[in-house]
Amino acid sequence: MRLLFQAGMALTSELSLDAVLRRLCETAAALTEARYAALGVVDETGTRLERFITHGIDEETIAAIGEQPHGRGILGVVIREAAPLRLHDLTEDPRSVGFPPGHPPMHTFLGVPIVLRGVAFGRLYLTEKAGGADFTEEDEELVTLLAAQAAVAIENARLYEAAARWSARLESMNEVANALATETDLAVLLDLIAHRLRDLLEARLVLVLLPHGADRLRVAAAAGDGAAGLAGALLDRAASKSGRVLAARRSERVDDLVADPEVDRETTRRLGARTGLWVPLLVHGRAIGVLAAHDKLPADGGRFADDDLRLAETYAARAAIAVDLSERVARESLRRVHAAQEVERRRLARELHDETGQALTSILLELRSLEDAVEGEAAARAVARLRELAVTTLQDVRRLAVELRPKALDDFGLVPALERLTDTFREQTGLGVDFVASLGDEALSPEASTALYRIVQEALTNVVKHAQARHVSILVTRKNAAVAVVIEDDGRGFDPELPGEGFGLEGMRERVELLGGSLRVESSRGAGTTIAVEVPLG
Amino acid sequence: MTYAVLVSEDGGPERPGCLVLEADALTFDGRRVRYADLGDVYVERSSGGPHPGRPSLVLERRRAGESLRITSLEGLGALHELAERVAAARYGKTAA
Repeated sequence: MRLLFQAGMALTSELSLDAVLRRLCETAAALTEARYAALGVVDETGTRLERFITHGIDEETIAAIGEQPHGRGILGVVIREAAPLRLHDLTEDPRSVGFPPGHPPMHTFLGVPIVLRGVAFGRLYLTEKAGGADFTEEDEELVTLLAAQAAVAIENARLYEAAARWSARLESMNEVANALATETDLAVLLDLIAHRLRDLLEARLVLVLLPHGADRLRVAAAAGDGAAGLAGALLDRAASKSGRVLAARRSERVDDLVADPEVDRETTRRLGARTGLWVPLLVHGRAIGVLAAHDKLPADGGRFADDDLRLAETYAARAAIAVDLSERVARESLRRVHAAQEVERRRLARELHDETGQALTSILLELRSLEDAVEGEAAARAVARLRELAVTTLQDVRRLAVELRPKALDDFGLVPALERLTDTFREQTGLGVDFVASLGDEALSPEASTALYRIVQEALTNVVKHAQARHVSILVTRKNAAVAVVIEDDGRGFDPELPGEGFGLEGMRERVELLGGSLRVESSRGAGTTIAVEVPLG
Repeated sequence: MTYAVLVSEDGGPERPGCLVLEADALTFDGRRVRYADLGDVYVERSSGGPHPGRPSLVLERRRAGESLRITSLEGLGALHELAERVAAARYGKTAA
């Protein structure tokens, strides 16, 4: 009894679960004079053993036996029936499945469940009582009492370990949050998000996916096994789990990807993934991306737990804020660059027109006076040449000023500026150009006017460079609360999906998206091209 | 490097299209002209026609009488840039 008391005190003083389990085995063996003791911890299903700790067998023998038992045979009986079991010779029991090669012979057997509040944590097994005797009823009672004490100790140890694990994760999370808050370069930030989440979840692979157009997702960053070469890969939103999570704005966990019909098979094969966890990146209720994690390490099973999902969601909340901030910083930076470019162009155009142009006009006037004053043919010819040079230079200066920043855009607005642009284009190229505008008195912001002007200018340049078209039409209208500009040609078209065939469309799209607008391209080989832009009014 | 241009061959009508500068030649409308086959390269202003005084890049071919006259649709700056690149390629440095 003293031994039992001392054992109980020792058990409850341990905080490490492993140490508790080993001490339990040793104590049980000592109490019952058993040569061998073992403790099996059952898995979540309660039907199989997920851990098996032994006492009395040396490391060499354990290695020789190989795979640990999973709870079949006599071990399984104790699991299923959740009641003590004593046997004179377990090898003679019809429920026995035998021993693997290298296993020491065992005959006398005592098995006892470890239960707390009706929940079975594990099973304690004792074999080979000293002197070949059978285990007694007293042995059974002692070990059952020990198991009850052990149940409390096991739960304490588990709670302590869980608390320690959460504490470590929270500390990691704080470190991650600080890192996210200081990084504004989007590419670096996304890479950091992927790597840190992989560390936190102990996942084999983590992906960060962002929207790409209206119907696809792009792998913006990847970390882990198989990550190389994944960045930039595109997924169809409608056919992928990531797309569904983005649309539903709700996390999902899948323990067997093969069995889930919503998972894209091709992607799963490419990633070599067996399990998955998806969490949306949400900012003010809007999904701006998805975090996907695959295959929890170590490799056995690879399933993520509820804790992992909660951790990923907490992490995603912070990551989403960081990503949104970074994107807003990038957009704002681009807006400032465009604005600065236009300011500079306006100033240069003004300087050319007001300073250089005026100076040349003055030179022409002086030359006219000189023409009347000079004598001699040679002098007259020289003055005439100078005059011609001044005239062509003045023409160049005026042309340069318009190319830099058309005055019509600032003085009269978008429609008159586009009218002049299309007139010049028609005259220069000989192509058929129709320009129709029905904007009425709608006032566009200077930013929007400039962006739309530049987009039409770029589109017309592309028509000459690439379309081999005979006719272009440009339509500017009001569409609900937006201005719509449609540029359509009858040229040879192109495939917008192929890389390298963007023709500056990404630059146009950036300009439009900075204004909260949208750009759509429809084109196919042999069928012309249509570019449709919408920019909000006001 | 590509440029939106008007090209007139041997004094003929102007045609809009894309001029591409490659390492050893320029191409336009399926035609390929090697820099090594060029003679003089210079910028000239038209003296008459619908756009008097408009600058163009003239590329004379080694075969007498043949020339390409190139006008930029992307502005004077683009024309001078094109002229500089073609001249550099013609006289030994990389153009594209």
